[in-house]
Amino acid sequence: MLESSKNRIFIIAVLIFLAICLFLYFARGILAPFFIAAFIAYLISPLVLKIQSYGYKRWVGIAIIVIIFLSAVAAFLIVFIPPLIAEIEKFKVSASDYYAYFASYLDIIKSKIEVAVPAIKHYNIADIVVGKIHSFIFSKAQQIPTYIMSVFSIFSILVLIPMLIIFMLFGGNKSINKAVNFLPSKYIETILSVIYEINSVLGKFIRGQLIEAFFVGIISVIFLSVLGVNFALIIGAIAGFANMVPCLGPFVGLFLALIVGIIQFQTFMIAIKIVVAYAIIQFLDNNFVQPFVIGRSLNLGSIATIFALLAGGQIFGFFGIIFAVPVMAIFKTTFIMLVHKYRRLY
Amino acid sequence: MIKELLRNLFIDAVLKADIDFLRKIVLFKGLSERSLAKIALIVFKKTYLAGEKIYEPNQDANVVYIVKSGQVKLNSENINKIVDSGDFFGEISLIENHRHSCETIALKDSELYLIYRAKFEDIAESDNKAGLIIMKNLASIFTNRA
Repeated sequence: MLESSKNRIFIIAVLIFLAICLFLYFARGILAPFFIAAFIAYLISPLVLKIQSYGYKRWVGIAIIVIIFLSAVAAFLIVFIPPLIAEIEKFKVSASDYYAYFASYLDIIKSKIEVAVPAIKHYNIADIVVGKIHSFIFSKAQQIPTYIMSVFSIFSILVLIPMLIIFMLFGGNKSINKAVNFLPSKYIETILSVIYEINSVLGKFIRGQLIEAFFVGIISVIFLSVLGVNFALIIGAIAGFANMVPCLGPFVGLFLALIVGIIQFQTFMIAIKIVVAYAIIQFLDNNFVQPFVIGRSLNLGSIATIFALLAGGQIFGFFGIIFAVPVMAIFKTTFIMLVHKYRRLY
Repeated sequence: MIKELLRNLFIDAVLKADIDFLRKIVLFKGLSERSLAKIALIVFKKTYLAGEKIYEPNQDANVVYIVKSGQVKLNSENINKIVDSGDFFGEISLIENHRHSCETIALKDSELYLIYRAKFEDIAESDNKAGLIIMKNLASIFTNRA
């Protein structure tokens, strides 16, 4: 093949890649099950490879690992879903109490501020704030379970996601191999190093995030139960999930626990206890779990991270927030590698 | 009969063939079945047409090429060598920050097994014994050449 026609093929490949990105952007509404399946497939593919290295066919490894994984998930759900549902029911009942407490508290603050700054009375700011909180607790907050169910319908949980996981585990390696066979040999060494870097960044990130989320969630539940805070399971689950979001995530669980704790116990002692508990959780996470699971960090600055998070959230919603950082890291490693190559050539 | 059937069902024949092929490569002499399997699982298989350039001198060396079938010609001022099936080239890639020294062209339609260095290093990290054996083989290849 002529050199110029090869270059043309490479340019066409880049254009196709950009077109795929654009297409994904327009189809972002249906991406959730694919993202989750890819997440899990990444998590378990090294184990499949391990079984394969004993000489068995790939499907044997996939069958063993998928069965173990699904039964572990099922066991986890069977243990934790009933108490979680009980807590959600309890929350629905006591939401109005929480609101009443909040409103009375705001009333006190309102009258104090109005004494201090009489002009503010004119604008009814406190009423507006109370109204917003009221509408949040009674409409938005109660819609959250419905929202989650709409994203993960029973069909997608029971059929689509497991099927996608299995297909991804079967097809992933094969399609990379096929792609490698098609790529121009001039670029093959560079492309292999890019594939490897992306793979290792994604793999480390996904495995690390899931293990960390799990750890933070479980430890939060334990600490909050010991302190006697209500809704320990709900807060723990949210804290674990939120922990996947860098910089901002760890505070979500803390704030939720603080709000519930202060309203429940009506003292500030509990706030101190909760802050200490979360400090311990973050200390354990940062010093023992993170170095163990992630190894090499993704090396992104905090401004870049926050920008990526917000941009991801703006474009793709919830999944954008979770995947913003690894995508950013992939762009960074690819860019650095290509720049290195360019500088060496010239 | 049933045993044969079960064997076909569970045992990966392609992988087995790859392992048997890799066992004959000088670079992998003395490796256990398991280590060979790990290596067989990380190779990329790529076909080159006759006359196709595989790499050029001064290109960053990241990949070791093993010739599965076909024939490849290495060409530079001091090297002029033809590599046949069962042999390998580009082994300098196993050492970091080096470049390929010669031009390489496929003489016939060839199937090559590509091993990317970082993947190989991952294996060496978890399977130290295999890593040591391969490095010893590599050292003796370089010594014999000099």
